[in-house]
Amino acid sequence: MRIDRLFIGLGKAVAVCMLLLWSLVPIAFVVISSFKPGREIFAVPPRHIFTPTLEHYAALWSRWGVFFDGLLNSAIITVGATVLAVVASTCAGYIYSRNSSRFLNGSVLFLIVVRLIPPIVITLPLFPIVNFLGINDTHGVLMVLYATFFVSLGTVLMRTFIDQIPRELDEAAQIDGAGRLTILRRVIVPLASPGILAVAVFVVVFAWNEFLFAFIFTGTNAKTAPLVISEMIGSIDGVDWGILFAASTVQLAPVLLFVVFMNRFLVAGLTAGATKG
Amino acid sequence: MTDLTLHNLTKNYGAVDVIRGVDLDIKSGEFVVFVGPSGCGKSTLLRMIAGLEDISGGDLTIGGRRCNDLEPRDRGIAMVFQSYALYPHMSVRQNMSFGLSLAGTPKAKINEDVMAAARILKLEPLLDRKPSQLSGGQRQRVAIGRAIVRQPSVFLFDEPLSNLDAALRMDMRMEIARLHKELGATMIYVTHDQVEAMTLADRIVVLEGGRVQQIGAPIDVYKSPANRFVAGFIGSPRMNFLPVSVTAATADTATVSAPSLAPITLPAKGFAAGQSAVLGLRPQYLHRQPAPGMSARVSGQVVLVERLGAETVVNLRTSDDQQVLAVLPQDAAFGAGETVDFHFEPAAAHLFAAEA
Repeated sequence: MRIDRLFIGLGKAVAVCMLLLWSLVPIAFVVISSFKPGREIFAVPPRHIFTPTLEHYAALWSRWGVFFDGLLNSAIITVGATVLAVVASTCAGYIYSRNSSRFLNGSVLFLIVVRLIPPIVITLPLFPIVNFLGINDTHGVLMVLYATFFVSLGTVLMRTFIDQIPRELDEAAQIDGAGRLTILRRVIVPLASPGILAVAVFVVVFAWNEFLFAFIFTGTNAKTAPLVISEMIGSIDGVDWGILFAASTVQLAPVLLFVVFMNRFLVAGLTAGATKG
Repeated sequence: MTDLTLHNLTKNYGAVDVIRGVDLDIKSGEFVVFVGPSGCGKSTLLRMIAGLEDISGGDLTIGGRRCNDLEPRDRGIAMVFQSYALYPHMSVRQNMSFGLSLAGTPKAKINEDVMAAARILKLEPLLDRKPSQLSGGQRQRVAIGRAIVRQPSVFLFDEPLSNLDAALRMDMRMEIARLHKELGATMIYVTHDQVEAMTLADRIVVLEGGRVQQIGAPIDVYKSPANRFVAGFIGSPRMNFLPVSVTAATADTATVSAPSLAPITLPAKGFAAGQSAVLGLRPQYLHRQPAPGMSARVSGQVVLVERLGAETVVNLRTSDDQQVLAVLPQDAAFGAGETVDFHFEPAAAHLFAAEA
C-alpha cells in the first residue's frame, strides 16, 4: 500500500516536471539567450555559464525603434479592446442573467458557437468592409475586432458570475429608487468585479499577443509589436537572433507579469460556474 | 400614514392563476399579516404591492393613488426581505443611506436620518461594519433600518424572521411590534408562522390557492374560522377533524353523531338531517375531567403521549380510526393503550360541510 502510494507520488512529480520543462524551456531559452553574447546563443554544446550582456537590448533600441512604436500601439489597442470588451460583456451578462426569453436562451448557444468559428473565416470578409469604411490601419479597428472576438466568451462568463449575485439585491435597490443602470453600476459591478477582472485578463492576453488580425488590418500607423517581431525574422540583412530574443523578452515581460499578478482571477474565470448546477 | 386598497387584484403567469381576485382595505397605521401555506400566493401578493411583480388585473391604490403601473420607488413603500438583501460591499451606514443618496437628499439630512434609525434599532456601534461582520439578528435590524430611513407610508415584510433561530425570532418579533407602536406606520407582513401572525397582527388575511379565505382579528379567526381550511391552518396543534353524520337540524343548530362520539347538538347553520359533515375540535378545548357545560365527549385509545414541558399532548385513535389530539396540563398521566374519554363544550366545536 505504502509502495503504491510512493509510486503514484513519484509518477505525479515526474509528470509535473515534464509539463514544466515542456512549457518553461522555450521561454527560458528565449529570455536567457537575450542576455548571451551573440556567438554563444547557438553554441554547441550549449554554454550555461556566460557573462550576461545587454548588447542585444541596446541594438534593439538603436536599430529597431519601430518595435517600441509597436509596443505603444499594442498597449493602446490592448487597453481599448479590454475596456470595450469588459463594458459590453458586463452589460450583456447582466441582461442574460436577469432576463429570460426564448430568444435570449437560444442566443447563448449562438454566442458559444460563434467562438468556435476559425478567426480567419470572419477576418477575410471584413477586409473590404474595413477598407470601405476607411478605418484600415487604425487603433480603433483592432480595438473593436479584439473586443468583438471576446464579447461572446466574456458575456457567458459574466452571466455566470452575475447569476451568483442574489436577485433580491436588485429588488432591494429597485425599491431604494435605483434604475437598471444604477443597479448595474452601484450593486452588480462591485460584486462582479472578480468576473470583470477575469474577462479583462483573457482580453489583455489575447489582444497583446494577437497576430492575424493585426497582420491583415494594419500597415504602419497601428502596427503592433508581434508584427514588428515577425518583420525581424524576415529582415533582408539576415536574422539577428540576439535582437529577436531581446524583443521577444520585452514583448513577453508585461503580459507574463500581468498574468502572474492576476492569476487568481484567471482561475476564477476558467472555473466560473463549475460548482453550480 | 396611508390607506391601502386592493380591488379584485389578480396575477397570472400565462395560463396559471396565482392570485385570483383579492379585495382588501388596509387602514392607515394598521398591521396586517398575510398568512397561508407555501405556494398560497402571499409573497406574490406582497411583491405586487411592492411593484416587484406586475399586476395582471384589478386595482392597487396607496394613499388614494392608483399604483398599478408605478415604479417601486414611486409607491412610498419600503420592503424587508427574507434574506435581508443587504448590499455586501457597503457598510451598514451605506446600506441604510443608499436610498436617500439616490434620491439626492443632502448629506447632513441623510446622516441625521441614518443616526435616528440606528438609535431606534440600537445599531449605532455597527454603522461602519460590513454585513458579513454581523450576526443574523443584526443583519435583520439593518434591513429594517434601511426601510425606516426611507420614511415610507407602508412597510412590507416578506417572511423577515424565517432565517433566524427560535430565540432570536422571538426577540425580533417583539422588536417589530415595538417599532409598529413607535412609528405608527402601516405594515404588511407575510409569514407562514402563525405565532407571528397571531401576535403581531391587527388583522390576519388567510390565503389559500391565491384566494382570501378569511380576514379578521387574530382571535376572531381563531375562534370563528370561516371554513375548514382556516380552522386547520390557524391553531397549533391543528384542529381535530372527525367525520360525522347530521341526525337532526334546525335553522341554527345541528345534531351530529359518530362511532366515537355521543350525539351532540351544536350551533351550526345550513345543515340538513342525513347529511355528512366534519366536526372540528381544537385540541386545547378537550378536557380529561368534565366541567359544567361539557356535555359532549369523544373516546379513543391512547397511542402516544408527548410531554412538552408546560403541557402534554395526547394522541388518541378512535374506534372509527380517526386521530384526535388533546392538549392537557403538564401533570396529565396516561398509559399507552388506555381507553379514555375527553370532554368538551358543544359550543366550542365547529361544524363544516364534508368535502365533495
